[in-house]
Amino acid sequence: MLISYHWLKKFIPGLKATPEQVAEKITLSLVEVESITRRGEDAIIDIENKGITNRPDCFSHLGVAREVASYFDLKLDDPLGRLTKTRLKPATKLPLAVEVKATDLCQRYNAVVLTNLTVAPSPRWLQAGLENCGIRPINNVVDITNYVMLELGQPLHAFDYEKVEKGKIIVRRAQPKEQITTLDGAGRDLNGQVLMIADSKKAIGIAGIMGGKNSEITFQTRTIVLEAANFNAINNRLSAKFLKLRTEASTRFEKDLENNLTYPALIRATQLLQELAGAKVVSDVIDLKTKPLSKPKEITLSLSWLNNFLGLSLTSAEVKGILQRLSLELEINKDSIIITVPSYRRDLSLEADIAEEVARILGYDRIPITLPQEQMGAEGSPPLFFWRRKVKETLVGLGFTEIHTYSLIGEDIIKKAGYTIETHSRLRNPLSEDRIYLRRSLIPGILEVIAENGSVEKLKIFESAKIFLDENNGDIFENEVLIAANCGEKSFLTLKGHFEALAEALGINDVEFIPLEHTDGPWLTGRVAEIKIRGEFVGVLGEISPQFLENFSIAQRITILNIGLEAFLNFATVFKTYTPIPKYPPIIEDLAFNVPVYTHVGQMIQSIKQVDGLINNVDLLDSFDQTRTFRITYQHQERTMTDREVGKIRKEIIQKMKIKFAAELKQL
Amino acid sequence: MREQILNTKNEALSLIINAKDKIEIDRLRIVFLGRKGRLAKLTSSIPQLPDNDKAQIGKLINDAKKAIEDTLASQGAKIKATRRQDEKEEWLDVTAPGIRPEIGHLNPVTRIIWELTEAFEKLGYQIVETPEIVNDWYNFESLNIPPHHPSRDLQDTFWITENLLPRTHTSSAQVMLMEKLKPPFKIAIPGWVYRCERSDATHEFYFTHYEGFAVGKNISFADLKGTLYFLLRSVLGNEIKLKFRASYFPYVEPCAEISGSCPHCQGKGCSACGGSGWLELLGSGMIHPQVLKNAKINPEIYSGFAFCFGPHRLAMIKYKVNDMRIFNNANLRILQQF
Repeated sequence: MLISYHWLKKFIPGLKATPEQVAEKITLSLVEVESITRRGEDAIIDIENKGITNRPDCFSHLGVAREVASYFDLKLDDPLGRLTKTRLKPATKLPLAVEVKATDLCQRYNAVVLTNLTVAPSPRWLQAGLENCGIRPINNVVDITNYVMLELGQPLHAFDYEKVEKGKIIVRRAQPKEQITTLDGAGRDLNGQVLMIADSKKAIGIAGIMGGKNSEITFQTRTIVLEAANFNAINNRLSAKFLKLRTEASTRFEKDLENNLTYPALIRATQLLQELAGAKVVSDVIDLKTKPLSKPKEITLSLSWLNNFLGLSLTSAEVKGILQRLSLELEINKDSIIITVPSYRRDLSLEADIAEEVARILGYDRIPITLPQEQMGAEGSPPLFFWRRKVKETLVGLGFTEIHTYSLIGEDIIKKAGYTIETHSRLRNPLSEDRIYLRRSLIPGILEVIAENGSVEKLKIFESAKIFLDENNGDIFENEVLIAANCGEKSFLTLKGHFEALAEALGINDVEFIPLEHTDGPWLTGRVAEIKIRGEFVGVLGEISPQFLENFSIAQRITILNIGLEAFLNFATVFKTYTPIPKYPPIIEDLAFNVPVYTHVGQMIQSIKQVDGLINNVDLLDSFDQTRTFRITYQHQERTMTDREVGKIRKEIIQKMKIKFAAELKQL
Repeated sequence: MREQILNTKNEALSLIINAKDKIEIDRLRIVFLGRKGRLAKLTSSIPQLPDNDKAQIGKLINDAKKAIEDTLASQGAKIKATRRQDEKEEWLDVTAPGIRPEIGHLNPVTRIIWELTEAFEKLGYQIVETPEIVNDWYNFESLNIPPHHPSRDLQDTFWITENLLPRTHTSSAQVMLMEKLKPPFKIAIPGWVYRCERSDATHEFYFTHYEGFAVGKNISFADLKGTLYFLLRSVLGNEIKLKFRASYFPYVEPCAEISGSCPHCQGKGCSACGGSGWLELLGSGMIHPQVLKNAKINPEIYSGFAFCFGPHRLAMIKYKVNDMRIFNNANLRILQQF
């Protein structure tokens, strides 16, 4: 929204502040000023539209001037009262009638017929005024409607009277399959909700968005119907969206304009047309209302509440001084202040709204700095936060780098990683093909990262992020997954070791890796294991099959750890049971076995441990060809073990290995 | 047998003489003299020998044992002495690069989130996470953003169904959490958010928010200001100056947007702040009475404030990053700088 400093001065004759000072105040008390541009004598202040979405009154110079006058406590020369009281007297009369059929979408319709016009380029000052505010001058009639819109905030439209059948305007919804060519020359297909301005035979404009080509003002036009109407905001916004046509008019109508504004705007435009284009009034001003005019509202404000709410201690006189600067009328009774809010301040309806007015006129810098005094029942945060942080810290300590990848992914990488797209939830309005599905796995994303970092020799990365599983009942189940990857010939056992270290850091001891024979992921058969903790599945550790690595043009071997974060962290604990260091020496012996090919050594270790409670530890000492050498530690807490005791356990171990794994003890 | 004993002894002695440290000495002691060691094994075969050989073999074994023990002791002493001497004479280039363990790197956004978490916890906030996929009510309507209202333009939205969306802000947690709680409470919610806008140096379609809100009796706008001072100082340093200014978000009233003096130049102007000395930091305000009502909290009795940090934005400020996309793009050469 571009605001001319000179234009503001017309409304605030006493304004002495420079454009920069005005802009600074606007930034602090209303909305951010994006830039100030010098245009000859004038300075154009660009204020950010989105921050005044709730202030349709500020989409005009008058509205912004009201604000600025209140910041500097200056008098505003407000023309609305004068214009509202002005009555036009037609010299002669041409027929004009208005019928509002869509009474729900048009609160008020003002119209008047003007004739004797000389359509010509506008005077230079008018053209400059529009150009400075970003509007292209067309001709004096169109320019004046735009000028009044910039001045008062009410969009207007002029139709060529000769093109309006029998001088009768009908406000109605579009008919099935109706089309119109708008002023910009575009043919537009309408839907049944678009509000149209029509005559008995045809549509002549899209209400509140753009006029029709068929009733356009040309240099031949002598007589016009001037329209100033109030159209429904939501309908206007939906239509503009449907038509993909946003205009200066629709930008204002969608903010929900107040219905008192149409008449003074019509008068102001008529006066300018009389002055600059020789217009003569040749009809009564039609003022059709389907709803009563908005009235000022009353808000009762408690002074003590206000002071508590803002953390201030203002007196009623101070509050009065502040609010009067905003042209709010007040009546003070002890603690309560009754405030009368003018109808153009649609945004003010609650005490909290008034509190904001007080704070911003006073200046937010006047608000003290305190902390809430009330005792809050502070519950601890869920343990997930503690553990997730511990996981990340441990992995970083082990040399991993944390990555973040997009949770929106494309068909390409989903397929490359061997997944099907059908099960993925999909965006209706994606930005691009590669950001269209909610990921169901972190694997495609991490493979993409590995590919993109291509030539990295050492790669140790991890991510902890959500995946999204479509539940088929309309719900989407979110689950946080921890993924880690490394590369190289020994990547599987290295990553496994890192994971075991991580588990230990979290107090998790009972991790089991079970060979997975069949998987549906991109895993390499024979080099993939499911991870179980106390019998419960938490995830998968495995190498990625060359076929899928090829899809991503990844040259190295890659191993990936993919586990459900919460499933894993469920086993994390800060508690440990201390075991005293045994007073008696352990007995340590090495046993070597010849094993058949494809024997899982992890299961052998597990089996040996289970033979007897006196087996304190089993390590794999050596693995060569078909020989596996285990170092077994026997330990009794209360005494030194005898050869006989050990011999008995040893016998059991040897027998178990033979039965379970067909492993033969190798004679030393 | 005799030969076997001799061989064992010789083997032992040669190994011991070549031993370089105590660990090796200890290991050899176990191998040869241990309870299941090589000599023990030989000893165990004595009962099977002819009677007349038994004594002699026994003696041989004992001799071997003695020899091995002596050698172990002398070599042990020698190693000890050499070390002492070496410590005096050995030269090492201490300026040579150290042998470094591998260290990993945390994503800088995570670091900011942790710093904020610590600051929030000092103020007694409970940290909670809520879903990323939410319905229209929690993301918009409950926050005073009705359908088809222009305030929806403040946040470009991705849609999954007519009613389901990846949240555009962590404010979607406000009514979702408040309706289950009884005031007073202080809650903070970190998490990922989505915007349907093309990414460029200062915009991302997927980034983080860290929401905070407090509701109780007599919670004031001044309390909001104090809270934000504390939190921003915790993350950006005690020197920061803050500027509060009016703004508009439909779910707060009054609304305040906060700018801070640039922590790199203390407001003098530098590349991090584009020369202005000031940086836009976050939006905040007093929770709108209608939002409290939507969460079944009586605004006549309770008031509250809410605010939302952007950890991505704070990471850009803190680490002088001029392109927001580096955090999500996982270029290791960049991430390993942090």
